[in-house]
Amino acid sequence: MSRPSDSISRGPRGLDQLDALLQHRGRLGAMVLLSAHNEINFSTLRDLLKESDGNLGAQLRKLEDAQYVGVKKEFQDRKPVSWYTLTAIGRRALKAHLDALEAIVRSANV
Amino acid sequence: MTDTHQLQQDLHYVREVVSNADRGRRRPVAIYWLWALYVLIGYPLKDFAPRYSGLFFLMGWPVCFVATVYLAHRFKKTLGVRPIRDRSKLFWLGGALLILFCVAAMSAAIPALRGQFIGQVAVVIVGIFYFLGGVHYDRSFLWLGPLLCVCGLLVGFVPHYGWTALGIVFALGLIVPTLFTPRPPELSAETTPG
Repeated sequence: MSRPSDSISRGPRGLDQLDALLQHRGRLGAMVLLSAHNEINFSTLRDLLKESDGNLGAQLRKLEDAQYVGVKKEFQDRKPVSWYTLTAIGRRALKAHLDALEAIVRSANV
Repeated sequence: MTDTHQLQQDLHYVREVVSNADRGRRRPVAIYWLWALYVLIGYPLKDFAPRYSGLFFLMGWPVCFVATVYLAHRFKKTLGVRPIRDRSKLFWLGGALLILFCVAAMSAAIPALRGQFIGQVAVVIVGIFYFLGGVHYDRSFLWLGPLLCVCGLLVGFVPHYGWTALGIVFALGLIVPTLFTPRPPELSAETTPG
């Protein structure tokens, strides 16, 4: 049987299972939004997440490099539009991350 | 080590982002106005030229539906999101055909329902259909649906211009929510790296 002091020294359960890439709230927000839709374009993601173009572009690039999101470029009214979608790897990573967050919330006993 | 307070703040942020995405959902305004015009012409015809109202509803519906498909296609291009599954066409077309079939079958099977009554029954069924549309697509239909059901029942007790009033109520129910729809964002050039 574990003592209360053990859990305090180890910290909340699930912390070690958190995905380091998804601990940035902008990236987590983008992944959560993408999980609910087939595709979202860059401008919409930027407006919903209230991020600057440069910051969001950098965060999405990291998710792309990890193959969590895919991107498709199109032209609309002669303007480039990037459509982002969640990959199967990204979906699995997001689920694991959310499960870990849930475990943390449960272990907090609030 | 990750700070749990930071995690809490991040989750709060994500929750806000998701609820903002739901609140900011736009409506295809042109489609709502098109159908508002359709009912605003069709129902008053029942009071002023009853002979032509059935013909108008029957002939106008396919025209409006084709126009709706075209407008919906244009609207979707302006949206920044593409849904995983889009069953709206099946819902609206299938539902409309079912209503048409139900009304025709009831009119044929129950002679007492012919004339004024079948029109009232049709409005009640349309009201139920709009309520279901509210559950699946647009929250504003959650109140328009029951309102149409009540109007459909009451219109039989109104001696003059009851159908005209119903047409106005129906049209307003479609137009008013569009006045509170967020405006489409300007398509801006992306400055993503690479």
